[in-house]
Amino acid sequence: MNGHWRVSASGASTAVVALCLIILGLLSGRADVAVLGAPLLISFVWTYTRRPKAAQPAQRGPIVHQHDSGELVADLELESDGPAGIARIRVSATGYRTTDIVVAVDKPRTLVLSVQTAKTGRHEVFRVDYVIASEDDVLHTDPRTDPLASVLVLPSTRALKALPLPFRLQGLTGSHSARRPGDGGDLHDVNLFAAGDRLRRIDWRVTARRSGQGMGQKPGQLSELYVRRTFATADATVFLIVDSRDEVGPDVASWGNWGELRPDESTSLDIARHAAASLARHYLAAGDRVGLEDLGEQRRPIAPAGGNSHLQRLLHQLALARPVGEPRPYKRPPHIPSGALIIVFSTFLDDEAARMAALWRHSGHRVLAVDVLPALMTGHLSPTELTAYRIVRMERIDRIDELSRSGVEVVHWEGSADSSAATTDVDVAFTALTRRRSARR
Amino acid sequence: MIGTEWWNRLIRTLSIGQSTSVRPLPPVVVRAGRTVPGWALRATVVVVALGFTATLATVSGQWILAIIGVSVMIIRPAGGLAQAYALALGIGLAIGPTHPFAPRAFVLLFGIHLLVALGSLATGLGWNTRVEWRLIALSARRFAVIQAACQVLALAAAWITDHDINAIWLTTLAGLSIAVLGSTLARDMHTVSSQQH
Repeated sequence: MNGHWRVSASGASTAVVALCLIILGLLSGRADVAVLGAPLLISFVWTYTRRPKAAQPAQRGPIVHQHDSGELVADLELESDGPAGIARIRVSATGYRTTDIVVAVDKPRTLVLSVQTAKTGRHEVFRVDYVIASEDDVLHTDPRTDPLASVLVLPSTRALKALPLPFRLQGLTGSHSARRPGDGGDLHDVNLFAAGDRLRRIDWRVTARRSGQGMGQKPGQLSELYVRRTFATADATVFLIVDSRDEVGPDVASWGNWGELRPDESTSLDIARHAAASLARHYLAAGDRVGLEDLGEQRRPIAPAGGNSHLQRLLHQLALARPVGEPRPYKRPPHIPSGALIIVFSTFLDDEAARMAALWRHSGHRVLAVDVLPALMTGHLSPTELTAYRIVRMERIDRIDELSRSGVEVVHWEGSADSSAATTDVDVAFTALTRRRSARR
Repeated sequence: MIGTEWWNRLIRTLSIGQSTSVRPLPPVVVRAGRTVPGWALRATVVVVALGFTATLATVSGQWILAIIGVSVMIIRPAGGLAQAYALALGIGLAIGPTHPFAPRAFVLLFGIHLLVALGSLATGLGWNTRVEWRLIALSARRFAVIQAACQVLALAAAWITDHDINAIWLTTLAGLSIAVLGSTLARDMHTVSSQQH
């Protein structure tokens, strides 16, 4: 296909009808009939004689960018080098209704294309098919297609008030109080000065009060020094385990690849991405180290690290997580550094993620299971589908109960992946888990 | 059991007995200027076609033909349909019992041009296709210029006809001009087509 201007069927028929009317008028001696063909002929000749000799250059394909409001936007630049023209455009995107529009391109212009999405990850949007034509449709170019544009939508995050920590903090510095004495802020005790204690830690008030209180000592005689000892600070190591083996939407009828997932509804994987990103941001902001493992892809995990650049790396990796084929079950759980807090994001619709969580818990890790199943729609299910769903639901409830009994703490991530729609239940649940660690200490 | 299959297919097509909770997918939004829907443009073409048929139709046969033509334009507005309808209107004027350059000829000059212009714009438009209002305004401007020139031409032709001026040389010249123009365009199109291939 090229961009040469051609006479359209409509244009050719305009010319033929014009000539027919004029010839008919001449043959029948009726000037009024011949005049009827005049506007059609003038219109055709006007456009045809002004057609460009060169081919119409291809338009630049749309460049997609993401808005914070869950909107994907692209600019489509249009230009006609021929007679003042029109563009017949069809814009389509997977999961969206196709839009057809006819616009004027009498001058170079930019059309803004947009779709609203609640989903994160890789999107392929805005396939544009278009034909540039003259204003009266006498001439047109060949149809052209701009293929789907690919864009990676990173998961959004929401602010969280408090998050649980591992049972044991193993770092040498950080923002959390550890249980061993060392340089920190929280008071551990007041004790006798010993070798290794710093002079600036001497508590002169306690020393003065205790002076001369020993046997055979005169009042006010300085005999022993007392120091204030504090708890050391440490950072936490957190491992996020995302179960990307399956992606289910709110519509139960679409489970098992029986239907297409709607782009305006968050799936379990979108919620998992959003939850994992929110937790990662919170922990990294607190100076902790965060790692990431994907149960759906058996490859090396992202090792725990800290900092803003690491957050970007995690967000990117989370956005790329998607179900790929049928992953083999793990023979043993992926290796996690000792003392790390493990947070598993899964729907727990099968045994694999729950089995991993239980194994990690048995090996001494503190394990949180975040249930990312979206709020379901079951009202329109057929009786057979409803029965199947009830069986799956009962199995899932049993699985989560079993997890709780094995010591894994379970949190349901309420709301959609959209941070504005999320409720405060998540905050309440995590705050309760924070207190549980304090009680253990 | 072909009948049963056919019946089942019809039931499925009409979505009878299926869940009513099928929600429409979200649309791809194209931000352009003010637009009119494609069905409105199609309806306008139909109104124009039937309206100007009314200036000519004297027998019921013409109305039947008009309704068939309009129905085809509503169902599938393919390229050339409006032009064919315009040709039929012209033939109707030629064979009709009217005096040359009666007022209806001027009305038809306007109507045929309008029908072809709107029909060209509506060619291939879907019901939900949106047409930018600015495009219609641009087309209207061009339409007005050409139409004004043609009405002047028609008035001149009417004046010549009324004054019974013997213009055989003018008729011959017009015929020759049309022949030359037609052959030039045909040769040019053939050349362009062969170059492009």
